[in-house]
Amino acid sequence: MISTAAQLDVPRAARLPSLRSLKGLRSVSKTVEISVLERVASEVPGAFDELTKQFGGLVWTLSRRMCPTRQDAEDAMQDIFLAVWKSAGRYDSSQGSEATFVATIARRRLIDRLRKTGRRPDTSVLIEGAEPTGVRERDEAELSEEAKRARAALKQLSEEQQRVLQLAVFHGLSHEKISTSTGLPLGTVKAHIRRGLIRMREILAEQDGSRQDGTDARGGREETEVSP
Amino acid sequence: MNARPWTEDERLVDLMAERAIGGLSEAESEELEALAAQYGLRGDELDMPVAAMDLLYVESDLDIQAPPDEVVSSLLKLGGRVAEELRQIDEADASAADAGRELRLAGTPAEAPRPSQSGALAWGGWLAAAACLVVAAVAWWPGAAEQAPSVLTLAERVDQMRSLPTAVTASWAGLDDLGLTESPHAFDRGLAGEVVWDEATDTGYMVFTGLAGNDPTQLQYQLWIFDAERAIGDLPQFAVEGFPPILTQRPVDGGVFDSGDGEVIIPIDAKLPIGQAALFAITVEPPGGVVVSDRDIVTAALPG
Repeated sequence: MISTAAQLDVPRAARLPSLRSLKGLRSVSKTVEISVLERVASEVPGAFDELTKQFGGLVWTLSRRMCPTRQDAEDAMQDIFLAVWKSAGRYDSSQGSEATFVATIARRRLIDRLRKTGRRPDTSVLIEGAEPTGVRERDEAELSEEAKRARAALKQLSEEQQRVLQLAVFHGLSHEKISTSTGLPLGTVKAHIRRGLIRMREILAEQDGSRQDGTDARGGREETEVSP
Repeated sequence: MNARPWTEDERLVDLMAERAIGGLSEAESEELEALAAQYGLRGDELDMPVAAMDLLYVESDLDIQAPPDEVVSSLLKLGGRVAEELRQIDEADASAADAGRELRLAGTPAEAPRPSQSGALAWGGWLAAAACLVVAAVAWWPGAAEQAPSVLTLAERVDQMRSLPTAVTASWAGLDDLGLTESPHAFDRGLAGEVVWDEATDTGYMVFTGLAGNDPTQLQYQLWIFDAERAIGDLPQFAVEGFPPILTQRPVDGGVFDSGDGEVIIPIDAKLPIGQAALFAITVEPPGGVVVSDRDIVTAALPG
């Protein structure tokens, strides 16, 4: 008997929708702005280097925050950037920013890596014994448009929702730890996360001018199943 | 299809949120998939707001650091390798089109587009699902997949890979033979077989007979690839007297797998590029595998 993993290894016909035509497109109309992800998908020379430079800081920061060691973070960087390359053809600039697309893939990859160890991205050591103070905020002017929009959306939530989401997303605390840290009942913590994220999604979709309940509102999709 | 808005389904939203923030167990994942399907959703609807928050926090963090130069350099090097592979595939694509010939999976390796012979050419886990470059090339050419003849069996692929000039093979050895500590698991009794590894594409197969079947809910096997071109000494506790110091390396995860009765062939799923495979080791791990193994080694193979 052959195990499940040893079934016929039919290669995934995962080639992205070809954007090779972009090469021709550029020669016809120079007014069309082609994003770095589109250039990566269409295999434009140097595009991956550009991708690395543009999003290296974002991915490195997320990796260092969620990986237990620097070595793990370095390995995760390669894993994430290859995944971004592979998924680049699914990016739709009309539905969100490239940075959000990259961040989405990065978090999914990092979660998958952590899942193997039975861990969650818990950085609670950073705040043990102290009330979380949140992010040391940069000036608004220093943020990208996408980050400004996220900040504006976050500020429309209630203070408790903001606080709980910050502890969950940024600090990686479990519901139980958030409950302990804030003194809020567990059910309230879950409700804040639930309502806060739905509200964030709605606000961001409204900002995109593409609010459509029940439809995808993010910038493209990585090819992932609904997997843990 | 459920009539009420999905946003009012608390359990569904809880699962979506947990998926986006911290990940789900297998059971939760299945539950999410089933619930989301009732609303015609995929279950990733809350990934985007979490990613937007990630972006905000990263950009807002005054302590944000750029990746170290060596990390960027490593990434750029990897990108160069992949780009070169894509270029060669494109060239082979054009060549095949010009010749008006049909690609056949069963064709001789010499007819297939080949990467350079450098062992450093590495696609890592990205193309690990592809058994060989011929298969990968067909799959990656738009419209070409439909033209592909029937796939080869795993055994045929192993034979095909074995004939490649860049392939290395190594037999699974008993731990005593290798001078390694006896595993507490007596799974290697009568174990035989080999690993076939293609240095050019970082793909390969493990062939086993006699590897005990496992209950995947209790434990699974995991492959580790020790790379002669990666640093050693990160894990000094695993040094074995009389054995090359490569055991102190943090090896590359080669994938989690299960075994059954009779001959088992497992495609290798290297999660990172491999410079020069120096040791393949199989360990017993909890379901899903681990990131750092306790080195409960069942068997190992030393190429060349």
